[in-house]
Amino acid sequence: PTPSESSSTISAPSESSFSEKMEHSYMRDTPVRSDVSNGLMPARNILVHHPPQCPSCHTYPPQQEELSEMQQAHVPPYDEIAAKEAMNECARIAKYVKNNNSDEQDWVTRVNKFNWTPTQETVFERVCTILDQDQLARLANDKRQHEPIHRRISSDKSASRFRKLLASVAWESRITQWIHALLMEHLSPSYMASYLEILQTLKTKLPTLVDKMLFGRPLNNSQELLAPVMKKRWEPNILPKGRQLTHNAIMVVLPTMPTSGTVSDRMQKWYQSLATITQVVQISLPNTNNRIGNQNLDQVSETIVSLTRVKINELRTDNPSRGIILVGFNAGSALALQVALSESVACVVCMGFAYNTARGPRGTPDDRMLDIKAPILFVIGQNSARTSQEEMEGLRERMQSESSLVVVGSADDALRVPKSKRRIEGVTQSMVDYMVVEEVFEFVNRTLSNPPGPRMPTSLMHQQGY
Amino acid sequence: IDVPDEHQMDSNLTGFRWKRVLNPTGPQPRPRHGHRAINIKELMVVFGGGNEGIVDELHVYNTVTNQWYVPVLKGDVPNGCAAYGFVVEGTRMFVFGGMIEYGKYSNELYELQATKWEWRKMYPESPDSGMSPCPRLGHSFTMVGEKIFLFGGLANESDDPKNNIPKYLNDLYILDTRGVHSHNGKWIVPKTYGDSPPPRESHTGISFATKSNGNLNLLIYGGMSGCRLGDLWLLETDSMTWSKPRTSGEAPLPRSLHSSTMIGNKMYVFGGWVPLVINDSKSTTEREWKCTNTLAVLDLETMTWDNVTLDTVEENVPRARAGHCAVGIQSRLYVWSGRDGYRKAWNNQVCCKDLWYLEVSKPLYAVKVALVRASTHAL
Repeated sequence: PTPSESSSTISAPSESSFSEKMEHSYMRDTPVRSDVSNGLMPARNILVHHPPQCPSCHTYPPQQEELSEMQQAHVPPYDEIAAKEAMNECARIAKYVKNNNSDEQDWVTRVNKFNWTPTQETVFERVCTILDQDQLARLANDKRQHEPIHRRISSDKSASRFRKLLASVAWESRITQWIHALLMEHLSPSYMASYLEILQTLKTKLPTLVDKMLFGRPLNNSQELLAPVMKKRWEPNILPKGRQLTHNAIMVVLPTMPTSGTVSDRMQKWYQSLATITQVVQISLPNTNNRIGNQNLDQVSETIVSLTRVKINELRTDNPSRGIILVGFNAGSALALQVALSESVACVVCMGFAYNTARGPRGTPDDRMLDIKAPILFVIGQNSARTSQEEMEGLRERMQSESSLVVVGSADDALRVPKSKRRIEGVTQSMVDYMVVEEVFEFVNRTLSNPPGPRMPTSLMHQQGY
Repeated sequence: IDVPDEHQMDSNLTGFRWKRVLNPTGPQPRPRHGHRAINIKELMVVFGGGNEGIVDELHVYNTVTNQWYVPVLKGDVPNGCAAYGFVVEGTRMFVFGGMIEYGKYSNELYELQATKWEWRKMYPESPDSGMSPCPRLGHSFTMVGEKIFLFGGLANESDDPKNNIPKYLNDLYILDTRGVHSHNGKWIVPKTYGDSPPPRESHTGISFATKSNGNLNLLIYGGMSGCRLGDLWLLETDSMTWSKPRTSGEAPLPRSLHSSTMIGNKMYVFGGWVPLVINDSKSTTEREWKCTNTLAVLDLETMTWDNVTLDTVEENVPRARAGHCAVGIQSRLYVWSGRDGYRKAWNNQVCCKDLWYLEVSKPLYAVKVALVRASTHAL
């Protein structure tokens, strides 16, 4: 045999580009304008589901069914093994309970109720109910699919019940320290596990009050059991995903209210997850000499708008080629739009935008928001009290800016999803927030790589057409 | 215990029966096409592909516990890729090339160590003469003995991803990842004899040993070069000689984006795009194609094709598809997802969500009890 040239190639005929487009189409197609009646991107859904089909009264055409499926965001996977480990930590520690109560016996019968005040009796009774319910929830969720998520939901529920109970006695330290000492002494291991998890959850939310309750003098002798309580509230960890923004951009975030110093836990989490997209700058309004209290709302918002503009100009002088992404939360989203009217920004992200405001609905013919040209992403809760998807679609049609809409199923104004919904979907709030940030990333990335120009607002006649 | 009905009895006679895997637990991977899968013990590892965007997720399916699992990945985790090459050697997996963005192909090589779920980017040495393989998709990447054979694929000659100048390839490379090259690997351009197969992409490559002398072979089947191909090419890797094996039996329709899987000493070809009508005039382009769910079996000892007719009840066989993944685990051929023809919703194609297996024979050997208990931890 003779050696042959093994690297000869043929240049493909034009048909192959067809095959490449058709058969290797792994990306989302760019939407064809004529396909959509109003030229807008269809809304993206996070955990929004049709009500089930009811053949006698209504059915959905399969096309629409599939279409809504396409616009559905994906639930992020989490580290199941680590979540199970975290979930069982309290139970593991509770096994070392040194009292004589085994799980076989009813621990309540061993409590000596001599000389109790009526308040003590009520508190004790209600604690028993809360712990019983928590135990039942644990058994109901045992070995279920996504057990850690269901456990997280039920523990949150128990913790909020417990919080309500202690609030009813005004967190009076005599009572809270007494009930804590009593429980630490008498609880059997499985009930102790429930109690420790409740404490862990509450401690993350109300560190000072819980510390007062736990560390009253004299210290009781099961301090080592409190080790998990000192940790942060456990939660299934979402597997991290690299988000790489290939563009030079910075996010300017306007929170829902003027803040200085400590930021709410949830806001902190938003900042952290937005920071996975690109660098984040927070706009804060220092409340020196109770400056905010002395001004009316208009003055405060004007101050924030001008502060933001100053900040943007600073950022621009630092690095003129950097794209500015304005992000507003709730009331902050209205301010972000205000800023976008006078500053040229790459895009605006409105989280929990309010359509119905104290001064009437947005998007009336004199509302200058219609003149904004920068692309806008609206993220709204499906059950928001101030905004509905229909209203938003109508508003988007009237706007000059190219806008996108993300609807978070069953969520409220602040994009919080209620327990029942989280239970049905098997998700945590963090997972929902993660999905929101994923959508923000998609939007920002798409807008920066292919900035859309302003559009012609669809004529008002079509408004009802949605 | 189910009493088998007549259908099942029939298909039992041939030894083939598809079974849909119902209700797997754990985080379900999204439907897609252009992904690849490999097999380690009882696990199927699925990576990449795309549908509404290239997927960068890695999922593991445990065939014993019927559970999907998402391992925590470490190291240089690659971005997603589709229509790439994926092979496994022991617990080392190698990923090469594929589409990483629309019109942008890769020639990067990554290693994934399954014991730690740790990715590592490799910087393979160039061949002693010539260049390293160019970025491509739809190539075959086949473990032949201890070496990996890369053949063909589709390259883009243009620098502008929006303006593709596609070019079908028929170059052959060997990747050595053993001994001194185990860290970064080394490309080798082998000298071959005989006529090499013409350029193509989305073909398949499998390796098998000749029974009489134990020599290892690479078998290339089908693919696309403007039209669908149905030819077989055999590379005898001891003498590095290409030949066209003589086959008997009725050859299946030419196809691309199918899967070819070795189980026992047979190659199981499933799905892919096939021409709607066979073109007798031998024109190089066909206009109409469709996806298929047909199964063809090539006995590698006798080189005999067998087109298997399976259950005629629609629910009992996987839907027609292309760009799916397939692995052989024990005596079963597992198939997951893939694209369902040109069917579209909105602007996007629809991908299948289902997982199937085909029991090709009596189990090759009894499944060891230890395997049942083995999990991803035990790797």
